[in-house]
Amino acid sequence: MKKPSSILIGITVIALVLGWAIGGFFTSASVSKVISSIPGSPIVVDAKYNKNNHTIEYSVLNPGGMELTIVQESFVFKPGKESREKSYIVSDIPVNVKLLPGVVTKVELKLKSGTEALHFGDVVLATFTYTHPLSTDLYTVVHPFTMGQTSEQDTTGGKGK
Amino acid sequence: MRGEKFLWWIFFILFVAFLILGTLVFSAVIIENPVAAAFFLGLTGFWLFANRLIFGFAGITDTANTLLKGGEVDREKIASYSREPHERVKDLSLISLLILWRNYLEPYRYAYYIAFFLTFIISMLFQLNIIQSYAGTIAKGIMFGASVPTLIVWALDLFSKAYLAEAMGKTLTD
Repeated sequence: MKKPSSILIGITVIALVLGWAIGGFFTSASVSKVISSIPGSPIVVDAKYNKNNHTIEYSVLNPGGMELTIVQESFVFKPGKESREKSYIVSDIPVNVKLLPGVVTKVELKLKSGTEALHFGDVVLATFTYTHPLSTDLYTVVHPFTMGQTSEQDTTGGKGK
Repeated sequence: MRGEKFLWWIFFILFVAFLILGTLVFSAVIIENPVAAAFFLGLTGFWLFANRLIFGFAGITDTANTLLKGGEVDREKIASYSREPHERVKDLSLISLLILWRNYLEPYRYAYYIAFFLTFIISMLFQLNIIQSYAGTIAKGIMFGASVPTLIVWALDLFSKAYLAEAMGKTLTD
């Protein structure tokens, strides 16, 4: 037979835990509401050259809580020593890629068609223009990509995938 | 007669005004903070269904406690709570009447726990990312709101059981 006092103690402990959970739930709900109203700036975490499609695939992380939209891409191509291609600039490629909050999104950059595949040492300096819902301003992210030369971050990211 | 009708109309208008005002206030809360609104809905909705259980178990606990202390108990009142025919309960002991009262509450208790369990399972489906939706936070809010009256019901359920057992033990030793 259970004593009422032991029931009281057990119920009190559970009530404390439940109150803690409810308080934590409300705090996290209000915090996530605040965070969801802060636009972040996108970070290019990985870039890979796709030989078949002649494109560079960027993995872009949106660390903020608001949806960002990439509206424009432009890039500068500089050949390395092994390439016979001349340097060229492609600007104002209209795109519409939505970067969801807290998620890594794949963004494709098409290189000029008809040009040679990238060789070791070729540099592609890409500029992404993005907007966020709070204003009509345009913001840019510039990412230099060197063919065959990856930073330490990129190699660890590549091994993971 | 006429004054009575007038009074009824005033009450009716007040009721409708209260309903409209309440809806407006609640919709404002939903727009501003849907999580708090979900919590409030879960709390009030489940409390509505828990009410009979809360008062029933509290009554059983109170009566059993009075019996333990040797106090006076209104026998007819306790007999009426079991919802049994008068012929069947007129010769029964007080403890038997309390057990009948608890038996009467048993289906309500069962249905209530099932309802809470379903709410819990639904919020868990969202929590474990089996269903991915913004509604997950809402489901969790409803679940947390419902857990408050459920804890009260559960506590009173255990208390009534314990006090009833003690009262039974006392009558057996007497």
